[in-house]
Amino acid sequence: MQLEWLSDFDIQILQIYISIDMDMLSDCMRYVFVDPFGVSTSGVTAYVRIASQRLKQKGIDVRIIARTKNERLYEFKKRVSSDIKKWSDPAGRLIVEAPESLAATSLISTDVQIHIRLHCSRSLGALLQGKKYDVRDVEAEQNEINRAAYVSAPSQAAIEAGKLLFSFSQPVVIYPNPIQIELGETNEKISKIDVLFIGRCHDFKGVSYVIEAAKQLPAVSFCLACPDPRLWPTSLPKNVLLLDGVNANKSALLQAARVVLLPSKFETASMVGLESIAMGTPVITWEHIPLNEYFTHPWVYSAPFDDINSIVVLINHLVRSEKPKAESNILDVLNSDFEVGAFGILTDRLCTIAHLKPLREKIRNVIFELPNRKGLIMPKDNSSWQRIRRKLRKLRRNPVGFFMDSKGLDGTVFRYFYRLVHKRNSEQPICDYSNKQTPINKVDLLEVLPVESSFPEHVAASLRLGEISRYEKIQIKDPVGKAKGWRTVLVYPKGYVYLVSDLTSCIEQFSDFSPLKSDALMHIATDVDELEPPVSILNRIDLRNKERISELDNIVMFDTHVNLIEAIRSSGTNQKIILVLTKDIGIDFECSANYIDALICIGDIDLKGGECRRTNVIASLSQLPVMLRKVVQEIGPKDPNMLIPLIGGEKYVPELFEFDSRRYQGIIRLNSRVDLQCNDFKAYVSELAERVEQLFVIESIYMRNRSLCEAIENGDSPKKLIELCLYDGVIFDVN
Amino acid sequence: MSTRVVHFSPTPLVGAPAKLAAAQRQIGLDSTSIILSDYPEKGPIAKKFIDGALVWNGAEKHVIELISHLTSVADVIHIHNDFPADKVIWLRKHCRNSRFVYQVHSPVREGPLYTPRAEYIDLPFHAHLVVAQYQPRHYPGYIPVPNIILDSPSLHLRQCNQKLKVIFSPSHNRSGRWNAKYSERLEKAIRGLESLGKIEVVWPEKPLSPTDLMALRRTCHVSIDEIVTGAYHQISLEGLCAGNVVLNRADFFSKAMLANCNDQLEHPPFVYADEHNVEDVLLDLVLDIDKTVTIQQASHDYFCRHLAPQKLARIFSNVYEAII
Repeated sequence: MQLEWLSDFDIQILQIYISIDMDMLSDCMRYVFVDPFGVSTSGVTAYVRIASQRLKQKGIDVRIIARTKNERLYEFKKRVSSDIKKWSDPAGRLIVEAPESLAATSLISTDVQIHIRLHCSRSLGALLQGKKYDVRDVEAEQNEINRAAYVSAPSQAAIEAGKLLFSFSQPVVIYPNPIQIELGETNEKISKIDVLFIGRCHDFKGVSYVIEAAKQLPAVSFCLACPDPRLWPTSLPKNVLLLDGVNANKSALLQAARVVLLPSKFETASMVGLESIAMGTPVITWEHIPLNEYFTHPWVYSAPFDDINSIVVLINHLVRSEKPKAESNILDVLNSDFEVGAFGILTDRLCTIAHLKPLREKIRNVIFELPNRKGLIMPKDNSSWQRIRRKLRKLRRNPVGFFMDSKGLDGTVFRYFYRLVHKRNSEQPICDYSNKQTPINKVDLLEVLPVESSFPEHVAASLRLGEISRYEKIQIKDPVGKAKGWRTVLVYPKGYVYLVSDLTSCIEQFSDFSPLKSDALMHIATDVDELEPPVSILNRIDLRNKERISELDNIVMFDTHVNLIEAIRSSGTNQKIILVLTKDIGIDFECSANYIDALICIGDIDLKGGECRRTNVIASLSQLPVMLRKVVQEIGPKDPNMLIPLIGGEKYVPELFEFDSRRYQGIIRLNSRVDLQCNDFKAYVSELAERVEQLFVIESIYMRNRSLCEAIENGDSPKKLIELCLYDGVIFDVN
Repeated sequence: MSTRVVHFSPTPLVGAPAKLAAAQRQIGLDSTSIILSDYPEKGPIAKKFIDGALVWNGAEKHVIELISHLTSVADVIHIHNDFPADKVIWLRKHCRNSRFVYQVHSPVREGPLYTPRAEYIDLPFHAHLVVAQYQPRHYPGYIPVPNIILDSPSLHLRQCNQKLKVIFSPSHNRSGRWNAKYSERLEKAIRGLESLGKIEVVWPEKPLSPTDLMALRRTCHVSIDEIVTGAYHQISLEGLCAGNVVLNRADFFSKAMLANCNDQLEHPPFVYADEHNVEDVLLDLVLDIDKTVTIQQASHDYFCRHLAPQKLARIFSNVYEAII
């Protein structure tokens, strides 16, 4: 490989080829990957896993700091900071790589070398979908990019998209993400797939195009492998097979498919696309998807964005043609290019790779054309230098015009983003969440899947309190119903319409319990990013809407992540959260106990050492209507509100006769005072709990904390109950 | 060299950070309180709680330069309640080697915070503190620390045949479990006893400055805090300082947290009153001068033993020493 330096330092993207000498890597070199997501479905997590393995194989000391399932972002950042401090060695070289998303490196000391790898942050994803985002997140991420020693990306498209939000003062190197394929056994069911789609059921993944293509090609078989098949519309065309993507054998699917359809609206690297090509299956995608930076025919076929007819034509063509002969070294070349790029960072000799060696000529033309179209690269013929300098001047004076005029791939990419942002800006400035007065107009830039109604059809308009969407102001209507203590609302993700419809039909049969009847039960639909911090959701609820939420007595939430639970519960003092879990979604009950008043699980769910005030387990969904009624009834207001003994009830207590539940909600009798200074309140309650001789609570408290109370009656410590009651504002008469 | 401390609070927080800074200066710390913005200019409490503090919003350029300088040399940055993200970015640029302490003054599920905010401020806090009133039950892992009353204690015992003099300065009506302090029944009880000639009432018609209020309080025998929520507030501590009988509805755990701040673990001598018994409690004091005097003395003694500003300021010094 030959070193080619670009002489003009206005250039944002350097393309340098360098030969890497493995001996340059010293023994004192350590590389740390930071993964702020830590979920198997995250592209970042998959990248970290594969990249770390590849570097380890080359003898690099690699560590991974991955966020655990229930770890708060701030706690994770603190852990990153302390771990990096531990591993820093003044004699050696330590580099920390992290995605720009979530600014996970913000608490790391400034003397540590940080490498930011662009993976498309959530804010960028929101922007590209025409949705709002928090400018504070962008500021924090920009801060990390500014102080990073290195910035890299898997594609030029990733950089161009990144420039919509960020500025890069240092050169951004390009090299691919590594790929790992594990061959598996084929399955009869998937022995013949014409068109394969792998991804989440999300309009950003272009699912509407998949379904439209399936409708237009009834003779072609489509297979959709997605993480949660339940979230797809129930009425799919007959030629569509739905598979559970989490448990399916991805490599077998890729091998079996005739073509892979990648209609995402944007990708930085398209791992699915690269894996598909490595398995010998061509990909159909849009022109601007960066897969085109790596490959062309016969591996990648592209259509102008949004041109579904072209997609249909390409599918028709490919399913009738023979699959190209698989090139066995594609995987090796991609991974080798990743290593070259990564080692360039390690040795501080930056290297950009964006081509596939066996197809170098074809791909090089595309890649070299990109800079030529931009006028940023030194051509082989030095006499063209003047032409380059003219183009550079144009770039400086009129960057928008420069790219708009470009005829190549980068022009396509730029025009796409420019349309996206320009249309967005012409209607509404980007929303700054720090300014709560900013009026918000909903702008839909991209056509979305024609979603079914968010609510069951039979729900009256007055009972549809509203929708909690991503990144927009949360507004709900005034709750209906006058019976204080019994106003109940169902809160569910938009894909749960059918489940809720069935549930409400069954509940309607309880003619003797009016709070859950169809003329009283309210509904709120949700579509919230599980990674959005709870305080961000809370900031989207103004004072008036917080008051409305607090007017609700029972908020029944279905499979809701803890960020939304926390935001809704924290909005006021009155409302109680009843969480219905149809599956384990990874809630940390140890940290979430304050926000969940009652839990109904379908099947046993591991509380992972945490305790819930009240837990009810049912065997199946069919038992949910009865259980829901039981829980709402039991935690509702009580009159009279009798005192119930939990500890020491057999002893006579004169105060019981004078007990007034308007003044106190429980009685605690201690056998001795707490006679030592405690570090914090938790320690104090712990000491106090050991001295409890008698404990009484009123019936409404008992019912709300039934699981904890029953445990105390069986001999457990009252510590947790006392903590949660005090958190709720319960007043105990303590003697 | 003495420890350099800078306190930042989004609002005056009824003067609590400024008083803390002043108490720290009394024991030799180089401490400054900086308020990002005062209360709304047209509101009733604007400018009433900014004594002893620098107000950043709208400050003159020399003051802003001073703020930058103090921040850049601070050993400890002590953040109260909340801190906006743009100021966090500013802070990170200006202070290199400071330790960060977070202190919360407000409850959860209600304004202004609604939920714990420390982890969203994106600063590496080395200690988390909470005012030792009712708030520790919402922040059970935080270190309880007392609010500080800077005034010198005084005692004017009720004399024989002297009418019971009561000071009552209620807050306006707000919603929430801990913010809703208003009691119509209490107001009726006080007015009723006043009209019967049983008590003399000092009931300011508009918000007064802390100095004016304290001067009035010293002349009274009874300070009434709120009797609704189960908490006690700065009024109760001021009442102890002024040698008053302090009436509130503070529950066991609120008092226990204040007791936890003194090494004898002594609960404060608050007199329990709620909406159902406040008339009886007041009448009892009206009729029993000896009882009034005894409790007044107990209030004064408690303040002198446990709530002297220098003594309480050392609690914070200990926290700082542990993290520097």
